[in-house]
Formats: sequence, structure tokens, C-alpha cells
Amino acid sequence: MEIDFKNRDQETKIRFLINIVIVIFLLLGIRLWYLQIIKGTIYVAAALNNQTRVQKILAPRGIIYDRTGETLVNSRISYNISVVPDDIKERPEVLEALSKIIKIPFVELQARLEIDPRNHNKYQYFPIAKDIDAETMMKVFEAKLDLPGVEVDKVLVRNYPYGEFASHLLGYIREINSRELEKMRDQGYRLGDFIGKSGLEKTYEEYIKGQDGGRIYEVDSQGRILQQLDFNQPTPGNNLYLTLDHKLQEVAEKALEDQFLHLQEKTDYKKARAGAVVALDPRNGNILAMVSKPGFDPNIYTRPISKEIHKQLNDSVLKPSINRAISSVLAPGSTFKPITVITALMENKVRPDDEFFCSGYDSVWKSRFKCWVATRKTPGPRSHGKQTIIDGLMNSCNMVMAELSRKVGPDNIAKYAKLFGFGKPTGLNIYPKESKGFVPTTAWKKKYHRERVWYPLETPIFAIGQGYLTATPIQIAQFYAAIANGGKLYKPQVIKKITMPNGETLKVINSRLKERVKISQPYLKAVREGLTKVVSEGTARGSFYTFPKEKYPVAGKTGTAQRPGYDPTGIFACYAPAHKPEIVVVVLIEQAGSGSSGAAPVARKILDEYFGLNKPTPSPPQASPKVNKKTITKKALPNPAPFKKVTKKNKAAASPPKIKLKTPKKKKRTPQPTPTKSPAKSESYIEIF
Amino acid sequence: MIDRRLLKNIDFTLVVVVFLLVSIGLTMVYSATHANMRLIDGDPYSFVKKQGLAVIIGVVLIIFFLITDYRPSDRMAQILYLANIIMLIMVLVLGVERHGAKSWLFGFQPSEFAKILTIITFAKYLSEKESLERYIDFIGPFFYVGVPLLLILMQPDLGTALVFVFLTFIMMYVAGAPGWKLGLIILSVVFLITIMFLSHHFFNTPLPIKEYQIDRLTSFIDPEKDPRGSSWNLRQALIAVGSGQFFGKGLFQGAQGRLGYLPENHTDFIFAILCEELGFIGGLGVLFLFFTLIWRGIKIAAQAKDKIGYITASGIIAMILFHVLENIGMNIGLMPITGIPLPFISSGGSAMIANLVAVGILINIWARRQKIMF
Repeated sequence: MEIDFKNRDQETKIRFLINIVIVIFLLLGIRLWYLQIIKGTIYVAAALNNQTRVQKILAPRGIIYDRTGETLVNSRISYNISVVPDDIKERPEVLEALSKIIKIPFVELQARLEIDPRNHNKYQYFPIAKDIDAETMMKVFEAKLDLPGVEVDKVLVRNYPYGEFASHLLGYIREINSRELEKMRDQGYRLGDFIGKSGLEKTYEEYIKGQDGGRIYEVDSQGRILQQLDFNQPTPGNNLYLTLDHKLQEVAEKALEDQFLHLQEKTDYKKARAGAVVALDPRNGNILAMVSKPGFDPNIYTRPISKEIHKQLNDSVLKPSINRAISSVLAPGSTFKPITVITALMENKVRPDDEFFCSGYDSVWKSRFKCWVATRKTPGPRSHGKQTIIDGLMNSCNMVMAELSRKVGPDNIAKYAKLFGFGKPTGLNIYPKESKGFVPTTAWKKKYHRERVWYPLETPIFAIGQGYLTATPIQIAQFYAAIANGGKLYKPQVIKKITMPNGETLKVINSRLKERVKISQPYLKAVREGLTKVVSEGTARGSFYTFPKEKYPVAGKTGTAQRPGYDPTGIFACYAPAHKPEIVVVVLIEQAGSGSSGAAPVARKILDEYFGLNKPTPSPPQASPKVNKKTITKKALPNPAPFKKVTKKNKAAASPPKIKLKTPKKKKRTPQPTPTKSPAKSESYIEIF
Repeated sequence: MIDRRLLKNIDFTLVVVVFLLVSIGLTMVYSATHANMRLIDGDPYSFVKKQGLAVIIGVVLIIFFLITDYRPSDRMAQILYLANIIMLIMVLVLGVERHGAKSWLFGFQPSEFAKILTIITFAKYLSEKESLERYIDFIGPFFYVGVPLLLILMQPDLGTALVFVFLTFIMMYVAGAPGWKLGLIILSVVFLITIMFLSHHFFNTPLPIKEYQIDRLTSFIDPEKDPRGSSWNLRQALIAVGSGQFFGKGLFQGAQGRLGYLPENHTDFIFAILCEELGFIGGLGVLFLFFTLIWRGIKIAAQAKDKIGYITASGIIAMILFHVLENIGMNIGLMPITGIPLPFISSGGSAMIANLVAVGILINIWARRQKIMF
């Protein structure tokens, strides 16, 4: 700068001032550059975060259909009443009027509006009453003029139209908890979102949840909405098509419940309250029905759960949350006997026409190992006498099995049991994961059991499906499917295909052959013959007395497994038609007393339904006439919905020990399309929940 | 009336720079206020109009100051000094309180004029002082400025008080006080304040300022400490500035101010709004204009024909420099938030008039740098 300084002192001082000025401006300039250029993008994001609010629009979850296209799970439109807390505070008369219409006390409404400002902005709509019924909704609409600032929002609520129906298989959704949120925040989950917690809802969560949409609003520093900036349409979730047959499932659910009642009322087995049914197609492993009782109504999870219901759901004895079809690990009892027979045949220790003798007592263990006939309470001989292995199966003769087991030894039985899938998961893709069950071996016992030795008596016990051996109903079903289809082990599956919301197929799930056990035809034929005779003239004869066995021959096996401290478990496993099998049914009822009269009648009803035999027939001896009559009435009605009502009524009349899980608002909603709604919408109201 | 030679000697660079700054200021005041219904009360131009009126008054005063000499007579200096004191006392007695400070009197902010009056009278005082070499010589000047300074502190207006402190030291420095002695005084005061704060922090001894003021003053060190409270303004200012990026969001397009995230956006935080809307280019441009202004000011000070002109010009530069440093500094998180306006840009009539008068004095000093006979 061309300054002609007056003197040296002035020059120094002016130069000093100039330096200060330069430093200050450099500092300001650099800082500006740092903020706007270096950190610019960060601050742009901060500004956006500041000035916008995202209002989520929930994506409808995918619909779950059965194999016939019947809707098993969908979403229904529900109505919430919302108010802006800040507005309504100045107009208590509006809140009062609203309280009269929706029949919630004024003080209660006021209490609901005391919201933590960290959770909700008081300038934005807040739901004051959730899931109101259509009638109330209409009343609010009519009184709209007297209710300024009150809005009725449509929201989607997961809906299980059949209520307690395949509940363990379908699963349920519930608000995400903080632990899950921590894990899944990256996947876009936020507080208040619903997430599949069990069953298919959880297993296929990523397929069916869809992509939430949202409105992006510009808000001022007070949080008041100024304008909408952006709008993203939600993408509905993908739909699941199950292999399940809803009619078969319904019959299975009802048959099992009815059987509990029958056992409780008409027999000594008062504690028969829990059980499972698995029905699958032996040709591909497709699950046709899967029941576990006690169950629950998945609809209850869409609302806050009362303490009472929570207690019921966590009942330590009945364990309604457990899917017994895949998780119950109990001794399979005599349903395991075909393994013993197959082992002996395959190891060439016996020929199909070899004869054994049953005196009611074992030749080695005498009274320490008896045949069941020796202790039976019904009239008749106390021994089986001469028995081939086919007779042995037919009569479920323990003596034959004991002889066979002595010939092959326990480890050979274990080997074949494992070949047929016992002791390991079947591979059904569903949450919670199935149990493995357990197949004991001598090596296991010597190594891990505290007794360190395999006692000889344990061999025949193993051979009749008891002792250390445990299996799940689905493993038993898998084994009987293998007998039916000639040794093929298919991976059980419940999903047929997944479709996109527009109907396009996203994924087809083909049946998968896991393993093939080679059994020579004559041996297989012998086992099948034995099993067919079980139904035609053996232990299951009674339950299938009136069944058209000439047209649809059934092959099956009863099982009665001892369980210390409990009444024996009743199991029945079968497939039909015996010559050309299409369906395998396994029924397990805890504390049912026996497989023949405890479990077999349930399987019979399922087969009746499967083969379309529900025309009026004389009731089988064991089944209660009352229950049967209902079944008949139901078939006369074409619509499944009225049938549902019958079931409900039946349940209402059920004996007290059976637990019932219903929504807190125990209200039956009848089809009631309101005038304002389009037919499509009203459809979702037909269901009972 | 005005000598043609005097007109020829007007510093046109200075005039153009101030014109540009005032224009940018009016535009930004419009941008910051036109959408704020609570402020403008129906007329989107209300703030611009007020500001414009102040500019007109300021320009008239510049012309008036051009034809008078910048050197007050002894009598005049005494009258001005006294008027200054009386004015500041009147504020304390009759003033209206706004934003926690009693600094308004009849729609004006006397402390803005007090700066100019103090510069003029203090320059006169310093120019006539024979020696400023010894510490004892500092006592007189400190008392001279101390009286108006104390009155301003009583409002309390900490920002303006700091301006006084800054210009006092700069004016004494150019008037002949040894720099190292002044530096030593500053250092010991800083040391004392540090001791006070430390003792407050560790032994909870009382402080002359309130807790919330401390929070506000120190929030610039860590803006994320209390984002909803004391550091809200700063955080929002930084978001405004940063999100402007290189080119800005466009004039009148800034959202931070419009949506009410940045309070006081037409006064204290107008630079943040400017940076948001005009970006780095705009911010740097304004910095450049201020730099040019001060650059010219320094040249004017150096070339002044007499000591009083030299000291007066230095005082004015010091005042503007401190305002720019403090205001822009607090907008971009370099300085604590004290609430003093950005000259020529922030909305505020008194400040605009006072600053224009200050520029008028600079022009005057420059125009008379050569001995001109009237």
C-alpha cells in the first residue's frame, strides 16, 4: 500500500494494524470455506433433517393364501381417531363431545394427550383412540362439524380372519421391541413398527413386510407442518401361497379340539388338552395341515395384551406358544415299530414269513417286559400267540419287536431310525426352529449318560419306540411318508410360491428330495401290509370301522407311549390310500391314554374330509355323536364363514379347563358393509376377530 | 457550498463499497423479514422501509459532516462528551428493555451513537495529551472512556462494551502508547478473568454475569452440548452457513431463516442467512467488501493531515473491524455470541445512521488530507 507515513512510529503501528486486519479476514475466510465447502454436505443434511418430518405410510403386509387361494392372513382397514394435542387443549368442549361419542371417559382422553414431547410433537396429529369400530367411526363422521380438529385416519391392521387357526404356522406380528430394533435399525425398522414374531410371519418377514412409503413435510422450528415436499407410495409386501388346505386345516383343528372334549368328558383321560396334527403329501413333502393345540388367536397381538391373556399365553403346563407339531419331543411309541421291522428285514435277520410267539411275556425278561395285551383292561385274550412280523405290526405286538431287536441290536435300529430322518431336523423352514428329537445309541449311552452302560433291557424298550428315543410329529410324518412313497425323504415345506403384489410370481418353491432310503420291495410290501392290517383288522380297526377301506385303504400305526408322571401319549400315524398314497396324517395327543382310541379318531376325520366322505354316515364308535352332528351340519353350508361361527359356538360351550385366547374385546363382527365403503373394503369386515 | 476541490477529493472506492454493503444489507433484511409474519405485521417491506429511511438520514448526515470540520473545538468536544454521558444516563432511566437489555430510547439505540461520539471526543482528548508513554498516563484515557463504557455495561450491553474496549486500546495505541504496555494490560485482564472463571468453576465464587450469559458466551466452543438450549442459535447458524455451500440456495430461498430456525436472523444472524442464500461466493464477497472498507480506512488514517484525524480514523476502523470480526465470527462459530450487528447489513436504524456517519467522517478526513483553504 502506497502510504507515505509521517514518521517511523506511525509506520510501525499502521503496519501492525494491517497485519491484525489481514489475520482476522484470513481467519474468517478460511472458516467460511471450511463450513461451506468442506463441511457443506454435512450441513445440508443437517438442514434437511431440521426442516423436514417424515410421516410413514405403512406398506400393507403380504397376504397369505392357502393352496386353493383362500385368504388366511390379510390386512384390514382400521380407524383411528386423531387430534392435534396443542389445538384440542384450547377446546375442551370438543374433547368432551368426542368422549361421549367414542364412549371413553373425558379424563381418560385427557390423560392420553399427556404425551412426552420427546415422543410426539404436540403440533402433529396424535391417535387418541385406536381401532374403533365402524359404527363409532360413522358417528364421529356425522358429528364432524362439532368436532373441529378431530380426524379419522385409516390404518392397516394385520388380520387373521379365521382367528385361532394354524396359529403356530402362520405366526403373528407385534410391535418391534428395543432389542430387535437395535439389530434391525439398518433394515429400516423404527419404533412402533410391527414385525413378524413367529411362524411364517417371522420366517418370511423380509418377503411379506413390503416397503413403507412416506410423506415428507417441511416443518418450521416449532414442528408445525408447512407443506408437503415429497410423497413415496408404499410398496405392498409379497404374497405367500401355502401348501396348506384351509378346509383340511379347519377339520383338523376342530377334530383335535373335539377329541380333547370327548376324552375329557367320556373317558378317564381328563388331562387330554394338548396335541398336534401334521398332514402332508408323501409325494412331495407339502404340508397340508398343521395343528398345535392349545393355540391362540394371532389377532390379539395387534393390540396391547392384557395381563390375563399374557398369563394364559405363558401357561407353563400347556405352553400355547409352542408349535407341538414340530417342537414336541416325546417318545413315538409303537409308531416307531416299523423301523424295528425294517431294520430286521434289511439286516437279513428275519424273513417276512418267519413266525414268533407271543405269550404276553418276554422270553428273556418275563414280567419285566410284557406285551400290551397282557395288561389290557378290555376283554379278550392276554396274548397274541403265533405272530409273523406282519401280525406283529398289525397287533402292535411287543414280543415280536423284542425278538427282532435282540437279533439286530440297538445300534442297527438307531442306524435305520436316523436313515429315516429321526434325530435330526426335517428342514421345515419355519420359526421357531423345529426340535431334533433324539435317537439313542450304545455309544452315546456309554459316553454321555451317567450310567455309562447300555442295559440289555433297554434294547426291546427302544424297539417299541420308548425309552430314550424321542421324535416330533413331523418326523413321524416324514417316516410314514417314506414308507408310503418307497423310501423318499422330502424336505417338508409349507410355501408353494411367493408372488409379487402385481401377481407376478417371485419365487416358486419346488419340492426337494433330501434322501432316498433303499428298501427292497418285498420288505416294503411286508411293512405296508402290516400297516394296512392295523387299520383293517388291527389296533386301529375301531376308529376306521365305518371307513370305506375298499375304496380308500388306509395304512397306519397306533402308538401309546408311556410318560412317567403323565397319562400315556396317544399317537396315530397313517397314510392313504394305501396302494397309491396321497396323504400322511400324524396325530399326537398328550395324555390321551392310547393311540387307538385317543388319536386315531382325529386322523379318521381328517381322512374323511380329504376324501370328501363327509356325507351323512353313522358315527364311528369312539367319536361323540354331538360333535359329529355339527360336522355334518357344517358341510351342508357352502360358505366357510358360517362354519366358523359354529366352531366358535362350540368353543364357547367347551369345558372350562381348555384355555381360550380371544381379543380383549370379545365381539363378534358380522358382515356389515357400511354405506360409505366400497365393496372391496367391506370385505375385510366379514371376518371375526 | 461544498468546494469543488473537496468533492474531487472524495474517496469514491469507499463510497462504492459502502453503497454495495448497504444494498446487500437492504436485500438481506428483506429476505430475512418478508416471510416472518410475526415480525412484519402485514407489510413485507416494513423492515426495508425503516432501514431505507435510516440510510437517507445517514446520507444527509454524511453531507452535513462533509461541510463541517471533523475536528471539534475544545468547547464542542466538552459538549459532545457531556451529551454522550447524559444520553446514556437517560437510557438507563427512561429506556425500554428489549432482549434483556435497557438499550432503547425513543425508538433509537443511543449506544450506537455513543460509539461515534466517544470516538470523536476521545480522539480529541488523546490528540491533546502530550505523553502516553508511562502507565500513569493511561489512567486519564481509561477514565475518559470508562464513564460511557460503564454506563453501557449497566444496560447491560456486553457487545457494545467490548467494542469500546477494543477501540480504546487501538486509539491509544496509534496515539502513541507503547504497544507492549497495552498488551501487558490486556494480558493481565485476561488472566484475571480466567482466574475468576476458574474460581467460579472450582469454588463457586460469584461472577458479575449470570449463568445463562456464560452458557451463551461459551456455547461456541461446543455447539452440540445443548442443542435445544444455549447453543441453539449457533447450531442453527452453522447449519444455515454450511448448507449454503458454494453457490448458496439462491436469494430468498434460505429455509433456516424463513422457517424460524434462526431467531434474530435480520439482526445478529443476518450473515448466516446471507451465506445460506448466496453461498461461499456471497460470504466471501461481503468479507472482501469489508476488507476493502477497512483497507481504505487504514490508508485514510495514515494519510490524515493531523494527529486527531489519524486517531479518529483509527477509532472508526477499530469499531468497524471489531463489529465485523465479532458478528461474522459469531455467525460462523469463531466468536462467542454477544449480539452486535454487522455494519451496513444488519437491520437497525441507529446502527446504520451511526455507521454512515462514521464513514462520513472517514471521507471528511480523506478529503481534507491536504491543507485546503475554504
